[in-house]
Amino acid sequence: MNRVIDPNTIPDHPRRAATYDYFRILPNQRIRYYGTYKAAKLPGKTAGARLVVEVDFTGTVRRTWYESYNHENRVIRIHPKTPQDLGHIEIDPLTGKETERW
Amino acid sequence: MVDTQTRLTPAATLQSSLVQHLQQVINHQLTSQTLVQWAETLHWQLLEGTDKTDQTPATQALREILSDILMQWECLQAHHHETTQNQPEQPLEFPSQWLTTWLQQIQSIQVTPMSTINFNNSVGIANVNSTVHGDQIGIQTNQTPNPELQAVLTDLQTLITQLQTQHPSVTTETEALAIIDAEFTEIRQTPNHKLATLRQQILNPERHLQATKATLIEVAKSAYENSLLVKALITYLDTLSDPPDTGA
Repeated sequence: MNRVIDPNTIPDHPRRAATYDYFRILPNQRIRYYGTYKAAKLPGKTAGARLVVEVDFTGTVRRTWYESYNHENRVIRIHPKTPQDLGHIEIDPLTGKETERW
Repeated sequence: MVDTQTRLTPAATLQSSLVQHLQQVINHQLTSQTLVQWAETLHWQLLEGTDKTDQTPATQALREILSDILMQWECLQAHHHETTQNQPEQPLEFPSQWLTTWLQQIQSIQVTPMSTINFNNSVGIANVNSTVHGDQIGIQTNQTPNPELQAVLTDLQTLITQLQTQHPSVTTETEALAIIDAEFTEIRQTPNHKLATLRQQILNPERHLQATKATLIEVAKSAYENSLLVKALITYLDTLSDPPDTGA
């Protein structure tokens, strides 16, 4: 069984908690920090996007990606940036399954 | 003649550099794609890199603007992908109105330089008097007196950001110096290198000016004094051959 971590034991957590919009504690001893949401300037199905940073229990950044949302605030696209840029991955907002890569 | 060179805070350096990049995109001298790649590196530096602990209002404002540039690019790419499928690829560029808005936002950020440095000769003449007048805090300017020098500062900033991203865990000055040496060798040997200004101004002995070197060193010191890579860069710049003494 995975152990949920106490964020206060993670180096740099107070700074990150103050810098990013909010965070989520994951069951695998990691934390995801969500950057500022930016509403899209262009009309269309993408309502906005934000940076997500995933950190392990040592405070090390393990991966980052951009997350785009529709107007129902559901994730419709991710763009993994590190450790490897995988391009854009379209997500079905209802099933969460990948529908396209470009 | 006495020129006053403002010693820039990290935020002021980044602000100045960002203004330059945006103006270049507006003037079609730089692509939006290049701006985004550069902004991404800078944004990461402010979020998780050397400037991550800087919580000054100016730096926070820069984080927000850079984040907006990056997220709008994500949205713009998606919009482009959706609307141009089965059509020939068109180069993607930010609308000029967005660029102008970001430029205005950045120019409105108030940053306070740490101090000023007086040069006893204008930039371009040897025998620099680099007396630092540390009490002159509070002059609201991020302008440098020479556009060429400003371009070099921008390129230097880009180089530092790039090196710190590529080599985040340098532990010794020897290792850092080797990285800097390799980087400058590449700049020197690569025609049309993106850091062309830096190459022309620093690496070409005929144009190598002691005043330029002194300014670069001061800016690098003030902006990234705790970085091994920047210490190595300062060492590297300091050991470049001096021009013939042109007299006072």
